[in-house]
Amino acid sequence: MSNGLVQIASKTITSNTASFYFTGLTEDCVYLLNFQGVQMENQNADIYIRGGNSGTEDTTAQYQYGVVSYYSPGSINNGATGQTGWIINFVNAHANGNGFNGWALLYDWYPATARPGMLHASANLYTGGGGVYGSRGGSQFFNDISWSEVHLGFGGNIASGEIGLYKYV
Amino acid sequence: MSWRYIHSQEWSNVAAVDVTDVFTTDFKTYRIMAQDDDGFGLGYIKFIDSNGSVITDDDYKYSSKTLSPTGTSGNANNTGNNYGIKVIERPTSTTKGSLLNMWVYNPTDPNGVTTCTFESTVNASSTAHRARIGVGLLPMRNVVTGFRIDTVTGGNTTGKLKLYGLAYKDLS
Repeated sequence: MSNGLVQIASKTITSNTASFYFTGLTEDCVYLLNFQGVQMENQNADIYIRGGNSGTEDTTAQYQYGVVSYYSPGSINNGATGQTGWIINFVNAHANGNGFNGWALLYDWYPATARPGMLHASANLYTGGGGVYGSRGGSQFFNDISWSEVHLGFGGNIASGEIGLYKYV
Repeated sequence: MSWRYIHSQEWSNVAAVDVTDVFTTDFKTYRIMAQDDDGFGLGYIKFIDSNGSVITDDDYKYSSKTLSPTGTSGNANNTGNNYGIKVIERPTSTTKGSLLNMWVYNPTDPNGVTTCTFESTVNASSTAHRARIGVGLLPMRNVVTGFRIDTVTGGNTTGKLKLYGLAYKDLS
C-alpha cells in the first residue's frame, strides 16, 4: 500500500498557448492541478476548466460554481449555474513576473454515478490596483457523468507557466 | 511521491518563530502545516530573505474572510503593511490551539512575486472559535528563503510545524 501524491502529467508553457488538456483521470480518487507562475499574454484573461473524453471537452451548460474573488480592497461573492465551464480565476496576472499560482482538487470525475466537482484556491498580484487578487471556491457539474480528461482554456493566451496534474494514492 | 518532506520545527512559549533556509530552487510550491498547542496562537506570516533578515517593508498584502460559528463573518483585507500576512483571526478570549494550512508559491524567484493561499482555525477558551480563509502576497522581488510566524501582539506560542515541497517534473 502506498500513500502520497503522484504526478501523472505536466504542461510547461514557454510560448502563447490558447488551450490544452490532460488525459488519464481514470481512477476514483482526488486529483490535484497545481499552477506555478502562470502568466497570461493579456490582462483579465480568465481560466476555464472543463471535463472531457476522447479529446473533446464537455461544453454542456451544466457547470456551477460558488466562488469568492478576493482582492485587497475587498472581496466579491461570485456564483453561477448553467455555465459552459468553471472559472478558476478572474485573472489579472500577466507579464513581468506577476503570474498567478494556485491549486485545484478535482473529485468524483470517475465513475459516472457521481457528479464531478472542484475545490480551488489561487492568488496573484493585482496589477490594476496593486493589491493581491485571488479566487477560492467550490464547483460542480450538474449531471452524473464520468470524465477522463481535464481541459483548460483561457480567455486569452497563456504565455508561460507550469501546470502539473497529480493524483492522491 | 510528489510531496517532499523538508523541515519540522517545534517551539515553546515564544513570541516569534523563525524558519530559515528552507525555500530553495528545488521547489516552487510549498505547504506549511503549523499548529499552536496553547497560548496566543499563530498570528502573522512574514518572509525572510536570503540574508536571513525578516522582511518588514510596508508591502505585505492580503485578502481574507473571517468565519465564526455564531454567524459573524466579514472581510479582512490589507493593501500594504509591515506586520505581515494575517493568517489567523484571533477570538476575543484566550486561544486554546490553532491550525494553519498554507500554500506558498514562488518564494525564490527574484523576478516574481511570492504568493500564498491559506486557511486557519483557532480554538478559544470561553468564546466561539474563529476561522480565516484567504490569499496573500509579498510583491517585492526578493529571494525568500524562510518565514517568521509572529503571534498576536503581546502573546507567546507553543507549537510545531512541518513543511513540504511539491515536486514538479516536465513529463512531456
